Amino acid sequence: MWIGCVSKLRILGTITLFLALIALATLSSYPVASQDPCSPGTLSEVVKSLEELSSKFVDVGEAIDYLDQLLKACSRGDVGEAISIYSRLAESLSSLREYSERRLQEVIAYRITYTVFLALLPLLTYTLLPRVYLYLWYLARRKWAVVRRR
Amino acid sequence: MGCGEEEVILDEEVFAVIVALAVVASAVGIASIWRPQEEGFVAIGLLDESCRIGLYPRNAAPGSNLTLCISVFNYLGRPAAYMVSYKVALNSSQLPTNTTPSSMIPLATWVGALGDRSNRTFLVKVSVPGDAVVGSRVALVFELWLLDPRSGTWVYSGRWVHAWVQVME
Repeated sequence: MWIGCVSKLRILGTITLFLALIALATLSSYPVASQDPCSPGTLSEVVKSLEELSSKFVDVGEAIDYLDQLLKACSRGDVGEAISIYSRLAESLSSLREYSERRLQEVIAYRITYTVFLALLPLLTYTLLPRVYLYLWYLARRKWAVVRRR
Repeated sequence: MGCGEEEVILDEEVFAVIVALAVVASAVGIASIWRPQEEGFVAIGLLDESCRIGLYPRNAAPGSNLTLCISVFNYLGRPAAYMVSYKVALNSSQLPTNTTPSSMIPLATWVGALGDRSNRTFLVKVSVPGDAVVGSRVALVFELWLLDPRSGTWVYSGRWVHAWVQVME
């Protein structure tokens, strides 16, 4: 009975080890396959991210420079350089994504403020201009003396 | 000014004109803030080896190298990844059109990325095919392709430039 139990445990252990190895192999190979920096899928994702960030008014100049270098490295077949550039690009995109929502809100707030100001401009002109003009008119004549006319 | 005459400090007509100007400025300003994005475009230009418009090569020997300059412009309203593809057309029917690229095989490509409202000018060295027939005319064609992030493929933009050269000994 003991011998049977031990042999079953051994088989179970072997199967577990085998499954763990398969899982490890899958995990280690997945990022390399999915993050091949020169694959059309990866490049498309990068361009898509840049478009999205750009639509949120984020300055993507630095990321575009990285993409430019990445494309050139891929074109030369320099995979090592491409991987290095891609990691920097991914880092740059990640930090820009964190900032993008705030940037969008800033731009929308600025636009709304500017629109309200422009919408009020005619009203402000109508109400304030005569008062300001009068104030300046009197200011310019403050040293004038009043003389009774005969 | 006699007694009973009223001095008008701010003339009413002048005031009306100023208010009207303020209304127009307000409307134009708001429209410019919220105007929809214009239709974007890309462009490619061919320049000589000094990166100027002018002295394009007229003659070339088979297998010889020529230096030219390419300008790429991005006004799509978004960043773009581009590819310039070099082909040699042996006659007019092999030239690209606004919708279809040339059927010839690309002999060289140059890639890069551009932000919105930006351009890049770079020198390229291209070779005339060694099997080009002496005495014939060939067109050096540069097509502009863009990476379509939706499909993940390079798509012909419909923009190209070409220069005819006479193949000579």
